[in-house]
Amino acid sequence: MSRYIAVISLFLLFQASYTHGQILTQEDSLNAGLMPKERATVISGYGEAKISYDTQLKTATGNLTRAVLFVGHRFNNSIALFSEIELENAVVGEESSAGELSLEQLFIKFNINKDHYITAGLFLPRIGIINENHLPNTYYGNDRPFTEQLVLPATWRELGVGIYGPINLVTGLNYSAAIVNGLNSAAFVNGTGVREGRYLGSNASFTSLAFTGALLYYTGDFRFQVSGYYGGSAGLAQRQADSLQLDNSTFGTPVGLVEANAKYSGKYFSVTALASYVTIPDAYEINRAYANNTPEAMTGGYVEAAVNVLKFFNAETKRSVNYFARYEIMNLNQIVADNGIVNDANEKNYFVTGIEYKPVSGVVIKCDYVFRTTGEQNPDLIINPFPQAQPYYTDNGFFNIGLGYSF
Amino acid sequence: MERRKFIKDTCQLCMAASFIAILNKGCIPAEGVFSSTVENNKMMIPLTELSGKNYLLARSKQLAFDIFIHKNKNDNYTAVLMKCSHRDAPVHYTTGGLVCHEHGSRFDFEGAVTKEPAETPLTKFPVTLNTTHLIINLKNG
Repeated sequence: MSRYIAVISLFLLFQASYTHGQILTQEDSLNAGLMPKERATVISGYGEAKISYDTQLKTATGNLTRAVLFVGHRFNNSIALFSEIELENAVVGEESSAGELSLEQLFIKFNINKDHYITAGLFLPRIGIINENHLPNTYYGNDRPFTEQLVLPATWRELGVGIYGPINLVTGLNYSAAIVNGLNSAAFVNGTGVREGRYLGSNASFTSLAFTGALLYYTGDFRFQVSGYYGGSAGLAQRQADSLQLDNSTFGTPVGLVEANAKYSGKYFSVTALASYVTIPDAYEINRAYANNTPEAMTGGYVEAAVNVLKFFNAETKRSVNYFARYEIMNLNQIVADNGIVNDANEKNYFVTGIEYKPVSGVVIKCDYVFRTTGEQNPDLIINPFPQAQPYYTDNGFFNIGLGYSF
Repeated sequence: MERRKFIKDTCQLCMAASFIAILNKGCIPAEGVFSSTVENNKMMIPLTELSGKNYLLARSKQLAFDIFIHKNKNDNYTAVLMKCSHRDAPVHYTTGGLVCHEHGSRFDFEGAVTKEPAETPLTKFPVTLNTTHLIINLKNG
């Protein structure tokens, strides 16, 4: 029976690809006057750097946060390669560096027709806002929203297959659905949610899988999205799973996530709101196996408003000066397992405000202030007390100045 | 985990995804789309197709991307290629403009950038009218 299902699935996918695919001949392309050749390579990229002043420690650090090189290649009008190589923190290999070199994306896109397409490889599923739209000139502040770093672990890329397209019944409504590898619950770290459990395309376990889907709707100046994720996090051999008493079935030891966001982008103002919820119902079993204090649930969200000041003086200007403010609230141990340890430092609030200047499209200069408040750190969890580690401040502020580019 | 269960679970998911795609494409006709051909670098759209509409998507097997035809408040027509100027992804029609889902670039109906990361406008083609057709000149885009 499984064989039949597999064969039918593959047949349907290939049929969808080839029935509607548009294969152009060289002659057609020349006639169209638009594509002198079918094959084409695109190079682009983005990057950002910042200097941050810690008002409690009274220290400042400068960092080339990331530089990303995009290379895309169109093999024909139906099949194209997308790749992004990302260097974080400037240096890799030196002992003192925190640098990281990774592939942020590497997938092949198969156009089913002019609207629908399939991606296969390492790609960023449509979850939250930042995961897909994370170029520095598309979000406010030097830091990406903290909710989308800690609750939604953007940029969250995994290996798998996804399908995207519009739902023709409603103008502006689009869907996406993907099957990707699951997470690694052994790597979860308390205080960073499921972030460290991402495989990021590196030796991912495919014995646990995840399904993710999203609906995205554009109408007028508004954008609405809901997305979800459900997948296993214990891709272990049976003997290991039995030993650790974890469910290693395809969606066993699950992680579930739901997220909704809305955005208004007008000529003068923009307003964004996002809410997210993560559930790990087998947190007790994960803690028993790995002692990593995994929570049963996490919540987080933010609201943000921005105004383009220059537009009030010159409505036609291409430059922009945006003032923005964002408030974020999150609880990374919303529900703690019976064998977990509560840490109030995981209840965080951020107020971020600042200004950004875009002298030309593609370049942004940013200046902002981040005020962070959290609960007290649980003293039982402090492994390295002062002076081995810096003291923990429940209130802290950071002045940031930085720049970014995208082309 | 049992091999049989793994295959069964993954194939069921593939089936579901395929079914959604085929259902979406096969059963629901896209509205506002007119299929045409390109001859001598020109695309001809009958005016009857544009009657009573303020926009139309012109589609051709010879083009990798659709062309968005828009009638503005002064009853003038514009035609832009629905290819994002950022990374060549397709843009989609919404009631608020044209949107690229890849990185969120937005354009007005005449192709001008309203939201980055796109830096340059969409490719625009000159259009002319005769008594029966709107003619899009693709050579001069």
